[in-house]
Amino acid sequence: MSKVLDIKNLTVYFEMSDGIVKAVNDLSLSMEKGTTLGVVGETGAGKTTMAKTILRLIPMPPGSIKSGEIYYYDQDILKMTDSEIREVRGKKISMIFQDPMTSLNPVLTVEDQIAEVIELHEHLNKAQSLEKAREMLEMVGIPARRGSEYPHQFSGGMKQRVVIAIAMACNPDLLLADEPTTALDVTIQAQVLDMMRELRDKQGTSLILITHDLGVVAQNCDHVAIVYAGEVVEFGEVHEIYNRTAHPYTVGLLNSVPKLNENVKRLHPIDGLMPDPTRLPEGCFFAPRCPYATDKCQSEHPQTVAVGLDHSVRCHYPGITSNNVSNTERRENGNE
Amino acid sequence: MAFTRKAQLEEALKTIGTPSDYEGRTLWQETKARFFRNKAAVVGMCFVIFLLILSVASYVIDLVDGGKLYTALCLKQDLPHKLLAPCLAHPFGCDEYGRDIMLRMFWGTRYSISLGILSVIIATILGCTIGSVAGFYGGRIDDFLMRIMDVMLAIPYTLLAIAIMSALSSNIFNLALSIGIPEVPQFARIMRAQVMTIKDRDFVEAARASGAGTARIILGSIIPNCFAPVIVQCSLRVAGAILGIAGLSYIGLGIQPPTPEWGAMLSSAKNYIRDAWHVTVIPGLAIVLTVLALNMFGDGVRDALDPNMKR
Repeated sequence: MSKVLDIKNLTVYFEMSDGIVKAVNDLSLSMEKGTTLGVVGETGAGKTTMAKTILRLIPMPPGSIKSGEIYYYDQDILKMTDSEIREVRGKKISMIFQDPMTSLNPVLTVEDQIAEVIELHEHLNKAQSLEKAREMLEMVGIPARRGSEYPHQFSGGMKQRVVIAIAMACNPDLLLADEPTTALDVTIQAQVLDMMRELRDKQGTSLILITHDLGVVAQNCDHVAIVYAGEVVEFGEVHEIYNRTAHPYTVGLLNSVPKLNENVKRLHPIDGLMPDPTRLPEGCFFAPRCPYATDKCQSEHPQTVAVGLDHSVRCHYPGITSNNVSNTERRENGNE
Repeated sequence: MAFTRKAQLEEALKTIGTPSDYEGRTLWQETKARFFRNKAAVVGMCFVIFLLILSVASYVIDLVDGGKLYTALCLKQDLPHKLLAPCLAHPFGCDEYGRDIMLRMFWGTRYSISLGILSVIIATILGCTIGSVAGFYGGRIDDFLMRIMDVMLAIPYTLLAIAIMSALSSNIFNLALSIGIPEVPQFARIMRAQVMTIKDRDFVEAARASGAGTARIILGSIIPNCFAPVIVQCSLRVAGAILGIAGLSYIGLGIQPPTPEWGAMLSSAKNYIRDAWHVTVIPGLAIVLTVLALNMFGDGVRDALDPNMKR
């Protein structure tokens, strides 16, 4: 299978007057056609910056892409001309934004907004585009006759359906879903995720699902990339990540999620905060918060190493968490 | 599995509700309803419509008889009736040359109304173009354009209008231009502020992410969202423009007598104010009422378009 997306050593900085914000640092990712990749990380880890960079939506200045390549099949997105990238946007790669409340234009009817992207890319006339727009609405479970209404007449979940209809209107190869369910309540989340999965299976779209919900990732993704301070700290097949967790940060994330089958009094969040992206530590970015950090971790930045067939991790001591008494247990003992 | 999906979807549709549950009012209908709740605004609108009908009627009469009636009723002097006080035959009285003031004002309506509207259209087009370019591109372009606007704002309104008017030859379009241009900075500032708040909104980025080019983003996504304050400003500024035209005519730079423009009538009548009050008061009152009606209408439009701004 061919790689629909291959990001190599991507580095994106924002040069502000009060310092350089190192949003994405030496980030590498790749995904096969037709698969789903989950990108997980805390707020501010650079997930959205990464997604926007794929479509070259980063405002420059202050943003600047310091290094790296983003291959869409065999084309480097970062080397495309403006008109080439406009052809890619919406047609080959499209994006779903986080908040459906603000990502629809309040003064245009819903079907007009879907028709706009169809008109742009499919070279159809207005009437044909509107026809197709209504089909798309039906596909996401909204009666076509409601297409002539305005976004404020829709509920949050329905707005997100419309956003998805816009994103899927031109049958893109790759869909970037930037926290598509964060702004929705849980029942609507399930509906929206179901629908996305259904559309993905029907149209063979590859999907990058950016989220901080590990449950959503486990349910929907084939591969997972754990992002911390702008770099991928652990990447692998979804079961590998959950069953043979190799990076202390991933362990921390998993421990922060309540489990149904265990009776725990308190959750175990990771101590401390993510480093300030204007002043990243010299060594491993996670070292200040890592319970296993050594002197080497403080002074030397780790390289990515393979720990399995389809599993890599950026740590000096991959798998250290499984060798020792697990983080959770040790703390629980201490607390008792 | 496929069956359960379908069932889930149907279940979801049930929670969303059937289309008939949502048969609500559109944005336009709601705005209209809010506007008509405001009695003062409706009165203002009626008066403005009345004036529009008068000006269209005077055009039609001129077209039909080739201006004969106009010459006979508004220009032909009738000195025995000079400064005649209001009476049944001449409800508004007669002016210093014995011409009927009511008829002259009827023919004069169109100058105030059409020039007021034309000058605001000029100001809107120029101001919105400058403002949206400055707001969208920002940086140096913004600095350059807005400093020019600041310079224009620093010159008193009437002075600037006089300067433009005396630089250009005196015809109707130039008069509209000289009243319109000093209004440009107002529109540019409103448009710039509006564009700057809209351009960072998510839906603009979403439009860019779906492959729209810059022109399409400005015209399709940003400008339609900026209209409300501009429309409000338009409806309020027509009143100001009418005042400006009357003012220019009064000092002799605008429409020249014997053309029955209200400001010009006021100007030529001012010499007789001691002998015949009605010759000045009636055209003056007409200007006051028109401006008042336009302001009430404009306020109504503002309240209707921007419900958040209500006290």
